[in-house]
Amino acid sequence: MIIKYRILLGLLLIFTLFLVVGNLYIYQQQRISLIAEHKLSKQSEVKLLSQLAREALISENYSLIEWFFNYWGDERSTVISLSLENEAGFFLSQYQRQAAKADDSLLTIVNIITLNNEAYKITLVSDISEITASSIKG
Amino acid sequence: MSSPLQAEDEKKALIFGVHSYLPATILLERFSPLTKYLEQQMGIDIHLRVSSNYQDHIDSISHNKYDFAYMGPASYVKLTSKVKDYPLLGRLSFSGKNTLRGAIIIRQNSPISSLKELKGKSFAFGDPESTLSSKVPLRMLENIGVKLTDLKLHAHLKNHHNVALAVLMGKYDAGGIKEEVFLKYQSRGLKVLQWSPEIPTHPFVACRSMSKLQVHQLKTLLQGLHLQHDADKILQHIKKGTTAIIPAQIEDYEQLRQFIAPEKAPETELQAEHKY
Repeated sequence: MIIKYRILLGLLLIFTLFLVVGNLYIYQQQRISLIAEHKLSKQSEVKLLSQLAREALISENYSLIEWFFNYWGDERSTVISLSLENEAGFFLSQYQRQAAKADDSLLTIVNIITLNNEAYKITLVSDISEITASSIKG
Repeated sequence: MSSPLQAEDEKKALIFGVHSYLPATILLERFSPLTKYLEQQMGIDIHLRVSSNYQDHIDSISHNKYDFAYMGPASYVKLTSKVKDYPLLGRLSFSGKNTLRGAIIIRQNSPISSLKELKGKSFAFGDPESTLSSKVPLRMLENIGVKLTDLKLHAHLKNHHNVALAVLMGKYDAGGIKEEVFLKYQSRGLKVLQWSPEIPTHPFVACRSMSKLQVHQLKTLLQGLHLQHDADKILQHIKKGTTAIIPAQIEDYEQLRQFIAPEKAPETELQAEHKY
């Protein structure tokens, strides 16, 4: 009787362990997948912003970049910072949200615009803590 | 009271034009409260338009495409260079100060110390018809003997902010901008090489075909705006520090007209690179 009980308990433990490991694996996979999706979406946004910035840089309409980047950052709650910097280190535009976040909840996307032998760096820092939270709830 | 003929003359909707000294979306935001106020008071629709450039703005008011407009001082001077009877509806006032100034600016780490040293350097102007980013700085340079041809290169950018950012980025050695824009970018590394003389503030101008009654109505509403309870909200929206719209006369702009009047035939306008 005791042996049967032990076997049952052992099986229950193995099953529970399997459930926990399985859940952790699913959670991790879901998180990775959501972050990858978020990253793709942000890369696409940065590409779009790069196109606009490139056009504005060509026509020397710098204030359009400054205004649009600030607007873009303000309108999207996940944007922590968004900047455009030239090779000399001058920030043509530097949007910064006040809220401080832990580094592991931030995703950084960088794109380089080259124009007449000059390079400009667009950096978007996005908050992914919502993704982590939603994958836990999910 | 208006006569029937005058009443027929009065338009059911007016077009209010603003020159493109900032991105159009910002300008629409800045002038919307004033437009709404005028609509409510006059009981007609007023459509707000932003011109594509300063010359287009001057043309729109002179060809009656706009019924009234907010203009740069030099644009008003150009508008009234031949025909002077454009009704002036008022001009901005900042706590009793009725003038503006601009500056020729350089980077804080620039070795340039005088206007004369700009010979052989690059210079960013704003719109060719802009008062403080083109007309006045050009005259300031010419007055000390620096002609456009003496510059290594020069360009006309779309607005004052572009000039400030272009100088900060090192694209140009110097540029001309208004004080308000200089103060915005000063902390990012700009300094003044020389301040401009004081010039009269921006006027509101009606087209010549507007009925006398509507001109009178607009004048009264604009010049009485500071007495309204929500005046601050409307005026500060147009430009920070604006406290009233005061009466304006063509004579207010005479000194500016003399200052920016070309002494010789226009020379190198064609050589300028237009960046828009």
